[in-house]
Amino acid sequence: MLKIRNIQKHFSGIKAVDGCSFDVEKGKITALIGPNGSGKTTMFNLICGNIKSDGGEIIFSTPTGERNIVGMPIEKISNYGISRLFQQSRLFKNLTVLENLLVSEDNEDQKFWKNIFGLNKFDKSKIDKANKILGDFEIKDIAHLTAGELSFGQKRLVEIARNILNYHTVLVLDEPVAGVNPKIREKIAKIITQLKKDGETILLIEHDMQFTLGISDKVIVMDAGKIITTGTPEEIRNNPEVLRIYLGK
Amino acid sequence: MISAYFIHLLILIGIYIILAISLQLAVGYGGLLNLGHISYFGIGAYVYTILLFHGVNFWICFLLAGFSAAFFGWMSAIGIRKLKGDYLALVTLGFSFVTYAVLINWTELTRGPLGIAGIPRPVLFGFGTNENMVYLVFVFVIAAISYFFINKIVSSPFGKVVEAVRDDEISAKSLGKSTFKIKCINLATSAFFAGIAGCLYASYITFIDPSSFTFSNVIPIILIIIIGGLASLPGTILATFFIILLPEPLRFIGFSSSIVGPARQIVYALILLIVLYYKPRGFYGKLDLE
Repeated sequence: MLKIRNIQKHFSGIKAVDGCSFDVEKGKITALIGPNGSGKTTMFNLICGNIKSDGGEIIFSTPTGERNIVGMPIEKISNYGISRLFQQSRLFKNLTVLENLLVSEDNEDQKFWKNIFGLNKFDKSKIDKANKILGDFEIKDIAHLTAGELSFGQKRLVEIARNILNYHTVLVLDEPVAGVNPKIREKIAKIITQLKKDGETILLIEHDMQFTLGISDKVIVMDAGKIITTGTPEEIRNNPEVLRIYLGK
Repeated sequence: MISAYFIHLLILIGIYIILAISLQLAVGYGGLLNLGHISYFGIGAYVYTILLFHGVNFWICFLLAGFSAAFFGWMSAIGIRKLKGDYLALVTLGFSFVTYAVLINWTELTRGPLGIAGIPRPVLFGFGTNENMVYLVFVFVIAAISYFFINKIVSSPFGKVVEAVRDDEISAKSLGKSTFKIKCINLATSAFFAGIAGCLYASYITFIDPSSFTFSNVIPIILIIIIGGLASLPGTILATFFIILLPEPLRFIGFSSSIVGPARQIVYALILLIVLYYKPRGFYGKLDLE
């Protein structure tokens, strides 16, 4: 699905990502863990096109075949099927929750004349689709609120809903449960578990080890820009090197 | 006499409504603080006038005034591709100075500081518009069409993407939106209507010169959109009436004309301060000023 090959990124001589290679398999949850500053978010930024790599390849299975997406614009990578949840809330704060979801549903809204002549509308099917996911996430009552009015946990749920509605073949989730209360955390865990059952492909960063190891199929551990080990959650849990660098044991 | 004066004010209000709602599209909805908006107004006025004096049909001049301004709007969007906020404002401000310099120095085309006088009023469907009342109707019909069109844009899914780009460009890109294209269309559409307003202004005043299209002339329009409230078309219309009419009593106090001009600027400044203090979102604004 997604093959990272010898990807590199340096910032003024500091190796943020240093020759990392790994695969994200279809229908599996792959987790990227590591201490702060280990290069996880930089890796996500490289995959999603937010920053350009200094070397290496990112091969993505698009509907038209495998492509090296390194250097491609963010929007093109998104349209190929990578949908990203950011670490910080990036909702459109002056749009309502419903509008935030509707904007993510398709890209017909970019066609000026089609919209002006009423050939593209937020019709019932689109609104129903957005309302359904709000219902599934038990947040339908906040549909009319602007995103700026929401609590952090509500924002997180809306953002996940928005990422699911956005066209994708891979969901890239950057710390989905960081900073949320235990109730929302549990809700997000259920959502991700359901996504896994539905056969979604997910690449995940999360500091919460219990959460990550409980949900992932494969775990990649990074430290100082390098991948130090890869394995199943069970293997990672018992790996002394991981315990040393990540848990400080 | 009084009615002629009020008709004159209403015509100016009609022209300013088009100018202000078009700027609202760029600033309030698109988040593009375009201080060069007056340039598109000037480009529209000059293109209309020059073509009209070359014997081109009024409606063609009218549309080309809009399209030529739209072209420069699109080009501006290319120029500010990687800019936002203060930097974008500065570059667009620079564009207004460049436009002024071109208008004043390209004397073969624009007659420079002498301006172009004797611009005829159009004859529309057999009706002359030399009567100000007829011209008022014409201006308000165009203003209504402009409002309808801009309202259609901002209410459509396209309008929501424009707002999404304003709120968070990276996030919009991550949802697959071509934010550059959206900004180009936004600025071009905004400039189109400013060009149309320029055309109406030229044919109403019947004289244009570069001094009508300087940076100082954009200040009342920015004031209108702030007082009306960002991302609010009804607020913009209300504020246009307010801003155009409020300084008018100064004319009747008995000040000399050299004082009325600066006094109007003082009134504008006071209105801005009072509104920002007591009602920071303006009349019907949906956003905070940031």
